[in-house]
Amino acid sequence: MYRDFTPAGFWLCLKESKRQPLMNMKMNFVTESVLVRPLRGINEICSSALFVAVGSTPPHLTLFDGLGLLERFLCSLYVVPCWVAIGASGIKKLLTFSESDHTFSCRCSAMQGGSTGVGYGLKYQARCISDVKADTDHTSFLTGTLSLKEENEVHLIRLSSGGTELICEGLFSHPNEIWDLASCPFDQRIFSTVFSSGESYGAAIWQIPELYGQLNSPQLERIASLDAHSSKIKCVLWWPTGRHDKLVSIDEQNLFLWSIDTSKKTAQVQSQQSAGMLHYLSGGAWDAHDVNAVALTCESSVQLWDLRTMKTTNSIQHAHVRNVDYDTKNKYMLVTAEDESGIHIWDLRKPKFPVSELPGHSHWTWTVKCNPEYEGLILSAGTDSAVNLWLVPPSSDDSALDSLLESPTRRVDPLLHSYTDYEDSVYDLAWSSREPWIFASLSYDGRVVVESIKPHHPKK
Amino acid sequence: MEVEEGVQIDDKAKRMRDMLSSFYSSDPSSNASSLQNYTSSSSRFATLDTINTTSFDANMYMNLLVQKSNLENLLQKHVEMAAEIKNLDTDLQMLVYENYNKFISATDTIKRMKNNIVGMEANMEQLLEKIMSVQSKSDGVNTSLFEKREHIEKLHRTRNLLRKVQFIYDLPTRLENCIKSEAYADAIKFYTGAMPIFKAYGESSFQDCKRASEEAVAVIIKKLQGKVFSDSESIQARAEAVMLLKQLDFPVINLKVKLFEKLEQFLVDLDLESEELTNAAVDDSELPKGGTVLDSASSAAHEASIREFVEAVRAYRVIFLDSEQQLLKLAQDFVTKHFEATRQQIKKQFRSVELLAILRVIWSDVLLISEVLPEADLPDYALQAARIVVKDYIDSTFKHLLLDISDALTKAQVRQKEGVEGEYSLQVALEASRKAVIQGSMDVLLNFRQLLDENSDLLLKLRDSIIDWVQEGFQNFFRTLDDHFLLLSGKSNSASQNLNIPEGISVLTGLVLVLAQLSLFIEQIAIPRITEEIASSFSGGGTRGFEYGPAFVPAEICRTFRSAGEKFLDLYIKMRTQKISVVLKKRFTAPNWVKHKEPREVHMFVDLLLRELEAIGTEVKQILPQGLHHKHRRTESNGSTTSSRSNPLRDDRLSRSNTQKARSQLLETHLAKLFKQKMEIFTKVEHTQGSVLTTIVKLSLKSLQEFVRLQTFNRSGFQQIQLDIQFLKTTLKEIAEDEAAVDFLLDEVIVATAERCIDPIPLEPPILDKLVQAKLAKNSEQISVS
Repeated sequence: MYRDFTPAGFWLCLKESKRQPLMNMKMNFVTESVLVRPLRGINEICSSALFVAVGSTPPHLTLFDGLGLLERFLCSLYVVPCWVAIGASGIKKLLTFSESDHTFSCRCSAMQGGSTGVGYGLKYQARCISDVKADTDHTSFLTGTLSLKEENEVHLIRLSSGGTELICEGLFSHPNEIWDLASCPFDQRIFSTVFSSGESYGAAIWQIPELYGQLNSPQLERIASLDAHSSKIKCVLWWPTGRHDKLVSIDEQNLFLWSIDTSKKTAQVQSQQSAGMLHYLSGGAWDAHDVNAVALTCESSVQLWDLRTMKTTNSIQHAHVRNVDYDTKNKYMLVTAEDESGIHIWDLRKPKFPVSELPGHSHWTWTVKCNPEYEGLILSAGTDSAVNLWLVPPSSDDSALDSLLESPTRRVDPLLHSYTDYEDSVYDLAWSSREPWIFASLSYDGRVVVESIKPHHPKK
Repeated sequence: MEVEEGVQIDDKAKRMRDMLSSFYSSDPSSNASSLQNYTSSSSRFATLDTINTTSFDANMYMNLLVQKSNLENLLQKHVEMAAEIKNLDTDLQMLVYENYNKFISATDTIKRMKNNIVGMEANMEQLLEKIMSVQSKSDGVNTSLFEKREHIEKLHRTRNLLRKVQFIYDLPTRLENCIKSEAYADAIKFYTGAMPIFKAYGESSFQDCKRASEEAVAVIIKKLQGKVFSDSESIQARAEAVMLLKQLDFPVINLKVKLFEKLEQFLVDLDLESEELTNAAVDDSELPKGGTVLDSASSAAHEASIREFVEAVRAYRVIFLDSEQQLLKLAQDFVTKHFEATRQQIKKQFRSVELLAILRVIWSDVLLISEVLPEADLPDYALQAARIVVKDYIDSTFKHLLLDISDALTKAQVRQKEGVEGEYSLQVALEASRKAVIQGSMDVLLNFRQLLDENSDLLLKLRDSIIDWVQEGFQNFFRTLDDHFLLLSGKSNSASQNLNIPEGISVLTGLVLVLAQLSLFIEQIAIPRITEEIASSFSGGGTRGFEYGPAFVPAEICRTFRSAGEKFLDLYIKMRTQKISVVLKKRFTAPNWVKHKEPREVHMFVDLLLRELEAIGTEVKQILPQGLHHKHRRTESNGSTTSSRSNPLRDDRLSRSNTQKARSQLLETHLAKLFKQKMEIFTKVEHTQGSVLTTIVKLSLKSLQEFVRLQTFNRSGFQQIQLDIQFLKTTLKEIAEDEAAVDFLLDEVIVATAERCIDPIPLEPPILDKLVQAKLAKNSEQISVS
């Protein structure tokens, strides 16, 4: 497997850059028996050229930026002991070793054949990514890292106009590890995070400061902190459809409705209701069609709340629901993801039985997201390191369903495509609302992959 | 001058000719108009031809002539004209003379006619006179003979009357005589002859006579009735009797009804007999030797009674000529009733021998009856009915088979529920249901083959249909069986099906596993065998037509059951991992990991986990085949050599004892991870003990990793997890096959914990070892105690 590896050798790995002929840089540090090879996928670390050198004793890795254009890498330029595995099919893994906590983090891997995605690498592990809906000029995403010991970052990533590169538009330090992140649907500079440090949990609304061409970690401005919670905060929800001065936050026990004013930078609890001692809430979704309807997931059911009365109006008795999403096109449709039993699609008018069922993932199905534009197009991500793209045939009329049942052999496979080129569990997904055929996925190792579903969608 | 004169003469002659022609012509107007045309044109284009028209202008003509002609021509013209004029004059004279002649002869004829008519009047008058005299003479004769004739007529009438009276007075005795000589026909002729008189004078003068003859007739009627009902009389005689009765205005309908009732009664008796017969057949099958006599006896009796019925029907038909419809209906009713009874029988479980016996009897009955009633088309009717019955029979047989299989399965479920869990209860259930499937379908096929082997006419006709039905039946049977399995497993897809299952029934995992194996068994063994069987004895058919293809498609069923088998196995794994997930969830959500205390022993959740796995192991061992021994094929899951790293480095490092080394051990783990290909944890599950267990272990460990990632640990928490995992490492090796994958996952858990730990300092290996050993010792102690 690592037959190319010789401890005494050097590897010079670089990506061919338009701006810099790679041979020039070679002279800087190469001493003997240099192997130069283009490293595919290296742009996940930075968008420019990168050189990796591995010394003999101790093996070490040096990261250079080709032109010195990206300060952040030049800043963190240091020699680390490292290992590079080179497989027959090219670079497999590239590793950095941090002196401070003696852990390795895996940085990149060469894309396997057939993958079409555009990659971007975060420095640390990460769990959440969000589409910046208010940015109508670009397809951009916000993502935050989850690192217990390092300084966490929020990345504002933008897809280049050609759709071939992911560019870091902004990099901001965040005080704690980020468990949930949601971009404000009406102001592209505002977003919310749920964070924790060890035991304590917090949630806050942030504003990205004006960027005057500089990239280097300006401070985020905290507009408001949602500090009325007493137990573990799960998530913060914005109303997905448009401008709304309310915000919902969910902790293990309670549902809070906040009234926020971004210009005055205030957030006040408008109402609060406990879901009951026995229901451990785990998350929720806000109905895009109804400003008063919120679906909350708890251990044994999905509860549908009315925010005016702050009461449960209905519930779907279904255990182990991990994630829930409203169909943005179809008013009464709700999609749930469960640990073991896959994905279920519900009609809220008939909450007893699911309308249809998708097999889900080999392990837990962690999250589901309905496409904002095309009906029946669902993405799911799971802990089996895969993202699945589903197309659910419109089952509004029962006859269609019946006919499907009658001829199970003729049933069309709802799975359009499975993206399996991930190294670790995929915890979050985001459809781009600007270009609804594009989505971003984030695996736990901090890799953002933006893919287009166009090759797999039968209609488009 | 001469010329002028000639012209004038010519003109005159022409006028004459015109007048004559106008007189004789049929259409003077057209002539005139043509002439007019001519003149109008002539005025403009004057020629010499205008001489024959009415509008002839002599001056113009002259001028023209003089202008155009020389003297010689003029002279010639003059000669011509003079000749023409002479000709015309003679013509005219001839015509006048002829006309005059005709007039004279007409006058002569009229004169002659007048002379002939004069003598006729006198002759006519003479004729009239003669006719008048003839008439007066004939009147005289007529009046003289009138009186005598009147008298003669009166006498004749009296004589007739007297003769009638005599006849009526003689009627009773004559009737009596007739009765004595049994000449009922004559008697009735007499009686009906006297009837009008009785009607007219019966109340007064001939009272006695009437009474006496009526009495006689009553006797006759009685006798005739007796004759009609007596079976010993010849059919002809009975038919005559009925005819006679009809002539007496006797209500024959009543008779008919009565006779018909008798026939119906016959049928009811027959039906009873047929019941008996089937019972006899049942007895027969139970006592194959002793019952034959009884059977043959009862069937002989049945045949005799059917013959009797047939005779009766024949008689009835002859007697009542217009009764066919009724009889047809009766016969059809008979057949329907017969088949109805058979269908009732089918509802009970019932073998094809018995069905065959019944069908045979029915068919012979039908043949007998159809001899008498060919119009009824009974064979066809019976064929239709038999078609339905046989189809019913086949359907019900399959239904019973399905019931048997589900019984075998649910029995296992119930037993499991009651907790009478013998060591091999699942195995017993599987064996039982396997047997139910294979034995049941073989029995069914055997049964159906008996149907085909029967040489009866009826079944021969149905042969093709039966073959199709059997094939179709199997196809449907397996489809419903699949549905039924789904229902049993509680994993039916549609909401409508869901409604049928009472909620809250927890489907037992064992049952799901049995279903998985059973599906596999059906796919691999049962279907091929049934296909073989069908091919050998149920080929042909073909009433379905080629476009539909054969009714029984084993490939489709195999596919269905293969996918069903996989589905159930997945479901089993899912159910089991769900249980384990609950254990893990409790373990990881309950304590506060940030304030965890130092580890003292392996946590008890490991015991729970192992106990679950053990339970799965016992279930799996009962049913699933052991499969190939995979223990040493560690690379199974990814096929690369990297995972077989036994990692001597790490083993070395284990012996070092300072924390720095422990730390680098962690580092090693990280590094090792790097050099591996992406581990394919989620491989396809096979129907073997090892595969299922390994899959469950893998899934559980993956869940463990995911749970760990959601927590934040302090150093002690980390160490606790490290200890638990270390313990699992030794114990899981015995359970799971794919050691490489399990090791990888266990390492992943530790890595994940380290990542989520504020202060990841691992436990020192000696302490780790000691604690693990303590736990192992404790476990073995417990086992020995229990």
